[in-house]
Amino acid sequence: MLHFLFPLGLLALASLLIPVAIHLFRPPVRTVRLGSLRFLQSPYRRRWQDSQWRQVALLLLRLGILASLALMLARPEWIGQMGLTTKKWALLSPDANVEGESLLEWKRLTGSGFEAREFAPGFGRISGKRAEPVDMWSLMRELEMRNAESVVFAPARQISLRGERPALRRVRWVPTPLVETPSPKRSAAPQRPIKVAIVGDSPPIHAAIEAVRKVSARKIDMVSEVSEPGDWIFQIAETAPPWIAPAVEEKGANLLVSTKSSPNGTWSGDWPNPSVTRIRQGRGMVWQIDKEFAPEWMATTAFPDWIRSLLLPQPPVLPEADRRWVDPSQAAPSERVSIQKVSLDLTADRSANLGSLAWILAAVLFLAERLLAHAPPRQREASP
Amino acid sequence: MNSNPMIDPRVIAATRGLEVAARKWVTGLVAGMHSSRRSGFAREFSQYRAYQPGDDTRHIDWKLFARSDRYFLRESDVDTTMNVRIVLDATESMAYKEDRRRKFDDARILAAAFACLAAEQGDPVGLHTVRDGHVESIQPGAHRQPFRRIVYALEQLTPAGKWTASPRRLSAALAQTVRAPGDASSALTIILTDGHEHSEEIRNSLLPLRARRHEVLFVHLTGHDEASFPYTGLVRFEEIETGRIIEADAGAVRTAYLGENERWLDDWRRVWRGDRFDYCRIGMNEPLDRALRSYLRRRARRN
Repeated sequence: MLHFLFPLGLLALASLLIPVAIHLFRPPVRTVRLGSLRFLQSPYRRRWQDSQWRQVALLLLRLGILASLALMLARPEWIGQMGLTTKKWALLSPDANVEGESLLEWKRLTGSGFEAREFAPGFGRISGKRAEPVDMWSLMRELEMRNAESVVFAPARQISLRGERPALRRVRWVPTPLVETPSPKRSAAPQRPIKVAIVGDSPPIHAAIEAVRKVSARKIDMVSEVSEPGDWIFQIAETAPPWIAPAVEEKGANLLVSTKSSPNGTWSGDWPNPSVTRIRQGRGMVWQIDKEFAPEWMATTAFPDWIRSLLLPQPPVLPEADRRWVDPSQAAPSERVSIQKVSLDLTADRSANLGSLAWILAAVLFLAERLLAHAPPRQREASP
Repeated sequence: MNSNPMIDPRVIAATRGLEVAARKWVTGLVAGMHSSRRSGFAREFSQYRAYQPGDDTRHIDWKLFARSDRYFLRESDVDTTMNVRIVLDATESMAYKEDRRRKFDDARILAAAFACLAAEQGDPVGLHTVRDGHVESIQPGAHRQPFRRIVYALEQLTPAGKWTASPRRLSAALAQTVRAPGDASSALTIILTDGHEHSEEIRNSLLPLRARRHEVLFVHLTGHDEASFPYTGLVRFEEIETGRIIEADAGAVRTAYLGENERWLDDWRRVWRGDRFDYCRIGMNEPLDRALRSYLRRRARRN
């Protein structure tokens, strides 16, 4: 579908009248009536008809140049839906569990001319193979561009629904339950208790660690001195005891320290945005906070969470294990979307700017016109 | 030379008609020339011969007998009437115009003048016009006032069509003339044409004249622009007879055109110049007198 960003530019098409008028009202070629044309029937002769055709060709070329320039002014854009077929597909997500009403719907569709496909990149035949969760919206957008009608059977998993929901006209989504898959096994290795040493006196940190210990399954021991990797030293006091440096550098413990020289002074209320610098020191790690430990922010509820994220870093959630769902109504299209908006939104990424194409076309036509206008070299050199 | 426009037969023809033009022109041209019929003495004196028994007594010069008391016959040259046949090309190509004058107008004036001259000298004169594929003839001796008849026919004529495709037509028309008074040897054919043909049809028609060793005066009428080709730029050339059109850059084709034209004129000249043939090329901007003088020369040789 051709679309013009500046439709007023099409008014320039009126300039097409100029060459047409010139062609129609050009001064007639001088006519000489001779008794005989036998002396003109040399290689130089050119039939009137040929020349007429040439004139017409030249006119068309000139019209083409002007038309492409006018098009260029109008800034044309080609808007999508290329390759839109009349196909109807019923698509099944690999992790969708089709049962009950959605199963009936699936059977009804496949029985009434819908082709069964897999809702996965490529839209191949249904293989039953496990597939990674996909970006549903982008797949649906692709279907929208491709098919006359598509029905997608897929679970409304949050992990598959990234970004904004596109407005879809030719794609219908039937939310289904998820196929139950065994969750990935955790490592069965016995876990060593985490040892935490606090240098200096800070009740909020004590409280936070206590909270972490209660929430998590890991054992957290409060010790006065640590010497193993994975252990933590919270240095609240101004001066560091002599055992800290070897514990960090040689034994590999973690040290959390606040830099006193920070120009920002104490933390005010902008928790949780700690600026933490990790510096590897020997085998261990030094975590520097560029602000001072302050009782105000340590009293917030987010502080124990932060402490937990330090002590017990979470492994990344596997997509298979992501059990978070969205309410299908959340994913449903809102009524406010107008059709006009739909088509524009849909095709925004498919549109191609044809302005440069028109420019190239004009240039090519101009070249052709010049070539044709000066075409026959009249063979002057052939005359004796 | 007729440089004075008042006596230019072309001007007179355009203003006062062919007949006046031809008469005035011819009278001016042949003033002082002995015209055989008016003199009342048609026969030129040759010799006296003694009477031989058996001679026609009508030819005895009785006045000489009164003086000399002998019978003498007054002998003269054979009466030299000459069949003049004018072949006029009235095909459409003769409508070629230059300075608002048609080539055909020149041809018509010449034909009228030849007819006038012939009539003045008592020669039977006929006119054969080739036009639109046909030959129309006014046979010599068929009319009491051949000149008037011819002039009338000429004035009614407009150039049209092409030369006759079959060469026999003209030969047949001319053959009738030969059977008219006078013998075959004393016929003069005057051809007035521009020579523009499509497939040698004019040449083929005239070839029998050449083969039979007729006396022929070939008047070739050419246009000045046809010969000099003064055109420049893109010109659409139209062939008058066929309407065929060729568009060409005149400047570019000029050299070739002139060469071809020259060769073509040479062809005609070579064919129609010889012992018994006269070739006379007249441009449309040249005085027509030359053709007439050429006729008179040939006519005088016959006397």
